[in-house]
Amino acid sequence: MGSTIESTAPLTAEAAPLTGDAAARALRADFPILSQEGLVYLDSAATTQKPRQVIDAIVGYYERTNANVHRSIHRLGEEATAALEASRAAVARFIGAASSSEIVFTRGTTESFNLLASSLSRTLSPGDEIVLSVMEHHANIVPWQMAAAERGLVLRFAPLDEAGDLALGELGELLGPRTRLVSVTRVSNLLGTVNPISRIAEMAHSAGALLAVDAAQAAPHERISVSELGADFLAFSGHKLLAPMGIGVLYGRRELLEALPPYQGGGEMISQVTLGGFSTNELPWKFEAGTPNVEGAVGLGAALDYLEEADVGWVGEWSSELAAYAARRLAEIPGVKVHGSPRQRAGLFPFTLEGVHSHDLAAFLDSRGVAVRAGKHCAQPLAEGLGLGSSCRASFYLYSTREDADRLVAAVAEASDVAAAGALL
Amino acid sequence: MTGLQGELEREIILDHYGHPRHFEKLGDSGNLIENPSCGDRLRLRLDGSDPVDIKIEGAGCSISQASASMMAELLSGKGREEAAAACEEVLAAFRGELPPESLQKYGDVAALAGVAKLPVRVKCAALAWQGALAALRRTA
Repeated sequence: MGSTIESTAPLTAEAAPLTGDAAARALRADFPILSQEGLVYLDSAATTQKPRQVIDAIVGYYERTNANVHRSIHRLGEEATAALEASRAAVARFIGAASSSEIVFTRGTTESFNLLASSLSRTLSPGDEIVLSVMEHHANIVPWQMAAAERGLVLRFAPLDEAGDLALGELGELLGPRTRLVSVTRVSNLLGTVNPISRIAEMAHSAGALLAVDAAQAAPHERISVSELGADFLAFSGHKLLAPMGIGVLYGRRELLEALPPYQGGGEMISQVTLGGFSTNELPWKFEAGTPNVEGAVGLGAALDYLEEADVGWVGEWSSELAAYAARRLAEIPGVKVHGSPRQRAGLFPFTLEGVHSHDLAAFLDSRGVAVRAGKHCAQPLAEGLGLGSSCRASFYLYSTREDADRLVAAVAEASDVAAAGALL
Repeated sequence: MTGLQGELEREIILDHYGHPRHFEKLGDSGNLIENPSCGDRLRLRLDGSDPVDIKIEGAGCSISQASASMMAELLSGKGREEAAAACEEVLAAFRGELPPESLQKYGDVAALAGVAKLPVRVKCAALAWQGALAALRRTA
């Protein structure tokens, strides 16, 4: 993949009315940070802003409930434990898991993949193969590289086609008798490509391999069903779907989690400890050593309630519609390229302005109040494979409005004019 | 304008970015240093000569490239000890451990004083200086 791919979207389409704008504008009132004068926040794929309901849930937890969980035999301890486990049950419902025992709380997607890679690789043999894709976030690459180096595993990477879609034919050719796991993302954090996970699950399963899914960019935007996707493992972060930072999820099918060795050792993950050894606790606590992030779990529960209320299906549709609108208008500006044209794109896309480094463009946009991400987006193999290097990324969420998109377009147009005059910093 | 600095500082940075000093094609010689997260790249050739003779090839954002150009201009012709001490002082100022005024005596580098207020961009400005300091220490 040497060449830069460009959007093939038609540039002539009339500005169609945006269906969700009134709803998005109404939801904004719930987000205190968005009331800051002049702020256009288009970096929700990095982290979302938090609604008052989530902030209040965290404050309420500390004002009324706080105690350590699963060990304090008093009223507050019982209530804190109930709050933690209620959140776990809410996560199980949110992704269609069969049971709360399949939900392991982690610090986020990155820790989820570190847990999975560390524990799963200890059940594998040298020469066993793991298939990833080149569009993975570093969180779904580096833990496997570490495990591969330690256990003598072989990593294989499925390529993309010119549009930025996963090349399923090539992926199929990578699967063989030694393939133990396929681990791919549902949504690319750089291109926004939505991958056909249920098809990939069929391919993996018919090769006798398991499927792990990175849902960090997908869970905020779609109603996940682990059974419909065919995911044996699935990971996502709370902070990308309205919850606080430092709480995330690893889902695993019960019989698979039961067969895995524990990750970290300490309190809560044990059932019996003697000086000679230990036996592990039941699921999911076997994977949760130490005092958990109860505040984070409570915030996550409130965030999932909020998403249910807003309708997560609508959130995904609106974010994609707004992103498509912004991408189409940006592509009309001289020197601007919107990269990738996947069959289905989530509410984010990368773009560049000819002759201007993405950091300089992002800094200029920031001076106009517009916050976007710049760099390689923790997806260096993909960024370099596309010949893209560093780019800006605009990402949209349930509180993003038509006005946000228009402000982005206006600021980039201004940057294009200034750059044409040879003066951008 | 980015709020990073005033009009004069901006012009100094843009001048170095547009016309970087001591930049030339280096092929595979020298040491490649980069910020993997954003893709700023510099190839730095700083052989064992004393006084310092420095050549740079690079690609990246305006701050990373202008800072490298300013550094090459400042360090060229200095003794190695003095050059290393300057790198250390500039890096300390970027990190906010020294007041911004401590950059005044380094000429154009003072235009980068505002960087210390922007933690995300400190690493852009610091890249060249960290690379040079490592090279100076390696051959010391």
